[in-house]
Amino acid sequence: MTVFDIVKKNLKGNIQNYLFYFLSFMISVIVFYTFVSLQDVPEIQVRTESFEILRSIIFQASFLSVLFVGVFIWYSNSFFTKRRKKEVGLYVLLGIRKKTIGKMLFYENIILGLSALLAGILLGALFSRLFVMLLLKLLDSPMNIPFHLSFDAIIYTGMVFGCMIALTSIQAYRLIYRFKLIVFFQAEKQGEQVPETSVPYTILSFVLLACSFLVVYRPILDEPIVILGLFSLFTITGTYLLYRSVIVLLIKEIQRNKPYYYKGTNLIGFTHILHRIQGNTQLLTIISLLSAVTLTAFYMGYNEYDSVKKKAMNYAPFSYQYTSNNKAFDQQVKKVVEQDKQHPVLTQLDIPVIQMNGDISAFEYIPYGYPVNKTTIRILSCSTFYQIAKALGKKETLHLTKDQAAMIRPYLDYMNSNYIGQKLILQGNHTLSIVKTLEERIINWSEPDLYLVVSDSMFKELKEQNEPFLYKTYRVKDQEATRTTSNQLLSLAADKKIELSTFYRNYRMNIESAGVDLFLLGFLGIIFIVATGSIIYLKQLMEAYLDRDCYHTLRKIGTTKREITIIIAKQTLFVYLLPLVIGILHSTMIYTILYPRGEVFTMNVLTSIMAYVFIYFLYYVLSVYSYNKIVNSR
Amino acid sequence: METILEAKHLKKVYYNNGNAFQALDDLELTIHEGEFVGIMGPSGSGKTTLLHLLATIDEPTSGEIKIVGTDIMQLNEDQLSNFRRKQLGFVFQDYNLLDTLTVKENILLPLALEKMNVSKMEHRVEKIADRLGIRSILEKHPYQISGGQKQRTAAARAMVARPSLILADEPTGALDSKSATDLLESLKEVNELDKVTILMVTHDAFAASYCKRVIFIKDGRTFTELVKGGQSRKEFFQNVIDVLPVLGGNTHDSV
Repeated sequence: MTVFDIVKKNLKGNIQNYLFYFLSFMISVIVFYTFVSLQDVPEIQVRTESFEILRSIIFQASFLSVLFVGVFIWYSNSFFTKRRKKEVGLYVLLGIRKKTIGKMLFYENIILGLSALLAGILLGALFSRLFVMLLLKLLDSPMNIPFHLSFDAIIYTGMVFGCMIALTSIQAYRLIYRFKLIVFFQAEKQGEQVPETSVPYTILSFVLLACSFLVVYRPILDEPIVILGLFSLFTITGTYLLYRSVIVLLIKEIQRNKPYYYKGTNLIGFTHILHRIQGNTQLLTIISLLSAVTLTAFYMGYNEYDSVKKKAMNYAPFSYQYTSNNKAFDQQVKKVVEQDKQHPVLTQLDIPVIQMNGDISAFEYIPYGYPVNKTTIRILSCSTFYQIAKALGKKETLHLTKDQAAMIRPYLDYMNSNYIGQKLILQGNHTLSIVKTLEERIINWSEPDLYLVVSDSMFKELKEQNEPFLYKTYRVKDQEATRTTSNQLLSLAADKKIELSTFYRNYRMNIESAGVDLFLLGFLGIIFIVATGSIIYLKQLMEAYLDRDCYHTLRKIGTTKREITIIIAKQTLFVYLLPLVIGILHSTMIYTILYPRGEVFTMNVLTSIMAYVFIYFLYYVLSVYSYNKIVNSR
Repeated sequence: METILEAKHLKKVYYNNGNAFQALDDLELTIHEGEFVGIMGPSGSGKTTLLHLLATIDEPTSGEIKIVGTDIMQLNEDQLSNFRRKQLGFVFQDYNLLDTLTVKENILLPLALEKMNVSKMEHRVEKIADRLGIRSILEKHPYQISGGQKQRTAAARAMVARPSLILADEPTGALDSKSATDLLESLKEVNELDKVTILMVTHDAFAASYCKRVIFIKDGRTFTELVKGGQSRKEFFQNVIDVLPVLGGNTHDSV
């Protein structure tokens, strides 16, 4: 019998032991392959306006996923080897030479890895089709995708996982050399030490977490980077100490409440948590913090995606808008727009605009890039404003006297400054005071973007010295899908060097970047949730194998199966719920730093949290089920 | 005297790859309140099988087992668990203590499962700990105490809920002779003073000599039975030893 034969027999005989390792490896391959194959899908290439950017983003993000996948595989590999120490010990007893054992484990890992890689790529090819359709749906151009094998992605995946297989195989070979022989015969250490409670650490933990609260809600400093830095520092150390010390103290406090602690199965559940917490502190801390980051990233992506239409509407409220100075061009545009029968014209509006210089040096805040003394200002009349408002379906009212004006919030004003009550001087010495800031744009953006609305009488007076120019605007039905007309008009205008903007172009640019962001964040988020969820799951399984005897004893002294299931459910809940709750709390804090004026619990945030909770819940159920199966069956 | 355990026509057949193996063959056993009964027999005689059947963790192929009047075959799984909790106490060869709990918590576990009130619970634990001489180690964890102390803790746990019957499976098997003697003295004491009924499976004649009655089984049947009566422990030990060669098998491996 050669070494290879023993390896084959081993693989066959221990199938369920290997199954989990195989599955986790394969799932990693599927996820990774799907991800990198996105770079190479012709349908996405055709459907997107900025494919090159998408491609490079996916490529960069794939590095991040290598990291996650690598950690995950490393972890499941160590779980796998731990489970097999006894078996290796048996080989040693049987007198197989170290080198032979090493070789056996090495080949075994290679066979396992390569078959997982192959299966993963095949399944990945199936899944990637699904994910491409999802991405196209997010990009607002859903379609059916045929099965497609990406050669580049196969090579890339093969290389990355080839390295991982090689590394884990070497690790497997070294297993027998890494440990002293006696280790293979010792049972896993049973009673982990009960951690000491430390009052100073507990206080420190609360102080640090309180500081991180203060940094966010009572900002002393203005710099977001500094706030984020301090927040991270306080939160990370605070969270670590929380697990290290506060939770321990809490459980010990519960133990002191004897009527509760000595009731039914509470006794077993709490002591278990207490004994396992020391080994879990780092894991729980890392998972809590990473959950926070993932959730925040997901909120941001979701928010951005959700506001795409609003953003595009703000940037280009009209479907088509151009500067009219040429009758022939007007005719051409009209013809193109009217030809598009799928998008009939809802309104057509001519907007006269006066462009003149003014002095805004009296402003408290001067939007970025505005020359102070001689800023170009564009002026609309109040009646035009009402026409536009009607066309765009807005219900804003405006009452202006002759020396009053309303200002449209400039696009480049990130600070949400307040202009009301401030004064500016127009060329010809007209002083106007701002009485209202219009938050939503009512005209497509173009340079310069300081727009004022003035009373009709003022507009008439200004008109005498400054001849207004005319914007022609169209609003059409279903403007999100006016790809053909929009492109036609844009190229027409480019030929004539006429300034023309379309809703569609802005919408596409926004939705592509936001859609891709959301997709990538979502995808990385899923990889992450799956990786951390599986790590907690593996950890639970490991504990289940260690605790099997303990539960058998409980069964023998007359604990019912149901009671044991309850103990397991409680204990497992703790391991999943704690990082989840702390992660969610942290993420809402980070969110508050990033969006200081945003509502925290928007629908988007809640949806993200719900999704996260749901996935963790599935893992929880799976964990309880497997744990139960290991310890609670005859 | 009340009958605690009554087993009639017990049969147990194991099937393995089409081969039948008869572990118990029409075995009869009756135990009364306050008895301390030893079961001896060579390996493969069926003594462990018998214990598993009595412990309700395995089912006989046919026959009847009544413990304090309850026919345990009629109970479903959850009822069995409750029955075990209330009526039976176990002492195992390898202690089966929970390492995460202190000695005290290990002992009061059955009471906690019964949701007894705290002061009553603690009173009972202290009483039983005094009886077994483990009061001083109540706050320690099992990994901090010796094998003998572990086994006495296990015995305390088995008795604390005041079950009708204590089942002990080779309780001295993993102990040195000093600890074994201490444990057996303790068992004898609780049997005599507290009238606790004990059934002990052992292959050690020395341990068996502490019993009031020893039943020998062979090939799944009762082979013979010795009653201590008025004999001293040493005399009884000699009588037990004398049966062993007739019984056959490799039982006489320790004195």
